[in-house]
Amino acid sequence: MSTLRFTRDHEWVRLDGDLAIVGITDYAQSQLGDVVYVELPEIGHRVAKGKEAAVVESVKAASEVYAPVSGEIAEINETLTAEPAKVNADPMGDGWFIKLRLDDPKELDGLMDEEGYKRFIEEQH
Amino acid sequence: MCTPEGEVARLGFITAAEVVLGGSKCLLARSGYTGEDGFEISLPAAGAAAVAEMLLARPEVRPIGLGARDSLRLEAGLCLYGHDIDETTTPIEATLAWTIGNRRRAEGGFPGAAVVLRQLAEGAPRIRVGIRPDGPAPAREDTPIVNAVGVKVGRVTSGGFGPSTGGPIAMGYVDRRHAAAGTPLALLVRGTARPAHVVRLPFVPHRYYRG
Repeated sequence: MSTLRFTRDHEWVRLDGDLAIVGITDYAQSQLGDVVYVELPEIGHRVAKGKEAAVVESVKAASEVYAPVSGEIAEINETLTAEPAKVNADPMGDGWFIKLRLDDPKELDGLMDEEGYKRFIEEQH
Repeated sequence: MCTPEGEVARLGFITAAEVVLGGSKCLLARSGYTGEDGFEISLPAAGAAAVAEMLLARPEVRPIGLGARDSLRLEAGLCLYGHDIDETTTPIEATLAWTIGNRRRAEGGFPGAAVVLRQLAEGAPRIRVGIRPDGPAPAREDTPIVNAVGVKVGRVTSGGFGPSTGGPIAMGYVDRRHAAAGTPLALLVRGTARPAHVVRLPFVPHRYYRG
């Protein structure tokens, strides 16, 4: 089983070898509504944990996507540029945003696991 | 007495009739702020839920929220108060000169008359225009508008994605020299200049019922 973690800002991060795949959760996409535009960082760009890594826009609003962990952008999901609706259709799969080369895998320890995130969402209601 | 159905079907845009709906006496106005044909229903609060449920029970009716109302009015080129118009804008700048009747134009004597009548005669220094970004990035309210050499010439007052137009749309005020349809501009979205151009409003033709 690969490690899957969640942030309080509704990003998910999954370890894939030495890379961390990042996206927004199903709850986040359902709150945003139809995603119409995604702005991704450049490969090689460095992001710090909790800082803006990408932007996701729905009909309703523009929202920042924060880096769950610090690292360097290794890959971006360029298919989202032409097909932003993938974020709604498959937020935890084809709708991923970026892959990070992690600075410190220990940063994942501070994030919620799936059970913890479920409880976190329930507490929001 | 007319049947409500017959009477309602003949109502033109911005006219109203009293009808009984779901047991409540309602004022039914063929109006709204979406650019589409539609009705606004006023009735005693006690009967409102029953009328709403009666309408929602019909298969062709779906509820929508304020987000849909906002994208529709933007596509229709309609101003949202506090955003596209406020106490710092004039009806002439907002291209709403039609709201000023002939008597007022002749006699003045209303708040702001000196400025409004001068702008009617000489033109306004800035004009509300439609703006279509050339790329896919939406430009929201307060996005700076710059000309070809990067000088600020205006500001977006409403902007987002138009579901009916299938792309980003905006409106805002620009210096009068940049207000002609087709004028190329750029929108500073999160610091990046995104090409755009001025277009005529509305983005989607109005479909009011004129009888």
